[in-house]
Amino acid sequence: MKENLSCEACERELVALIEGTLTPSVARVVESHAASCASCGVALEDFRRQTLRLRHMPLLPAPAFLEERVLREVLGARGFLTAGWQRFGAALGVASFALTVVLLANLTRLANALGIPDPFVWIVSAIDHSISAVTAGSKWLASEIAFYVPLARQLWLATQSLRTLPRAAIVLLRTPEVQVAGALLITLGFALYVLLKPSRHERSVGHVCLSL
Amino acid sequence: MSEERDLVRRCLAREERAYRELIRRYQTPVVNLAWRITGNPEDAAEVAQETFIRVLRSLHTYDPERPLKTWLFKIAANLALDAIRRRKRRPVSIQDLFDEDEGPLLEAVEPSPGPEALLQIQRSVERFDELVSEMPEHYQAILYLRYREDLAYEEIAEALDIPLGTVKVRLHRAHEILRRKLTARGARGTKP
Repeated sequence: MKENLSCEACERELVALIEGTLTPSVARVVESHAASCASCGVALEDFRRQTLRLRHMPLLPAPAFLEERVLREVLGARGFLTAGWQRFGAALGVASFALTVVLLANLTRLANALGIPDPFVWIVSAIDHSISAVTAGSKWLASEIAFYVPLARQLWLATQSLRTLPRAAIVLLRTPEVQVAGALLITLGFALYVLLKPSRHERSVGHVCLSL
Repeated sequence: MSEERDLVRRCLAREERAYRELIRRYQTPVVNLAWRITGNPEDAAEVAQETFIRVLRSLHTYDPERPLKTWLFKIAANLALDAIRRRKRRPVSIQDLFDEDEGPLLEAVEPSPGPEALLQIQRSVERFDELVSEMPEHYQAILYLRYREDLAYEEIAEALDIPLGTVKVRLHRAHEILRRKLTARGARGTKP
C-alpha cells in the first residue's frame, strides 16, 4: 500500500485495522495516516467506540417456555414411537415364540402325515422351496415390471445368496448342542404356556408338547 | 470442544438431561440471532423453538469436527429467513440480504460533530442500541455474531452461508451505516 494513502482508502481499512485483520505493513500505513489526518483519526475513534458498545448489545432473554416446548415436541414424539415399536416388538416376539413351539411340538406328526421321513429335512426343504418361490417371484417381477427390475434383481441376488443357509442348517441341526437348545426352547415354551393359560384339552399345545 | 462432543454424544444417546443442557446453553444466542434477523421477539421465539427441534432430530447429521454453535446458528438463520419470507414483510433471500446496498457509504457520511455532541452520544447507550436495532437485519446479524458471540469471520460466513469476503465488506458497511446514523443524529441533536 502506498504511503500517501487517500482518506477514502484509509477509511475503508479502519474497521479491518480495529479487527486486526490487516497485514502488519498495511496496518502501519493506515495507523500512520489516521494519526496524521484529523478526519480519519476521528473515524477511527468512532469505530473503536462503536466496537466497544457493540460488545454490549442488549440481549433478548430466551422465553421460559422454550425448553419445555422443544422437549415435549422431541421427546413426546420419540416416546410414542418407542412405546409403539416396543409393543409391536413384544407382540411379534410372543407370536413367533408360540409359533415355534407349536411347529416343534407337531413336527414329527406333520412329517409322518406328509410321508417325510426326517422332519429336519422337511424344514430344510420348506425353507429351500420358500426361497425358490421368492426367487421365482423376484425373477417374474424383474421380467414383468421394468421399473422394479433393479430392485428385483437385488432381491433375487440376495435370496440366491440365502440358498446356502438350508445346507448350513442341515449340518447345524444335527449337532447335539442345537438339539439340546431346541429341547430347552420347547421346555421353556411349555412352561410359559402352562403359566399363562393352562388347559386340559386333549389337543392343546400343552398336551402335544407333553406327548413328545 | 471435548465437552461439546460429549454433550452431542449424550444427546445422540437420547438423554433428556443432555437435551436440556444443550437447549439451556444455546437458547439465548439462538433467540438473539433470530431476533436480529426477524426483528420480532415472537418470531424469534418460534424460530428458536423450531431450530432446537430440528437440531435434536437431525443431530446424527452433525459433523463433530465443526463448532456446534455455528451449526445451530446456520439452522437458526435459515429458519429466521424463512420466517421473514412467510411474513412477506419483504421478499428476502440470503443473497438479496447481502447484496443490498444503501448507496456509496463514504460519500454519505456527514462531517463529524463536535466533541460535545459525541460525548452526548457516548452517554446515550440506549439511543445507540436503538440505532443498531433500526439497521437492516442482515447487518444486525453480522454485528451480533461478531461482537456479542465473538465468532470468527469464517464462522460467521458459515453460519450465514455467505462468502468470507462478504462478511468483511458487510461488517465494514455496518460500521459505516452506524457511524452515519450516529453522526446524523448527533448533528440533529446539536442543532439549536
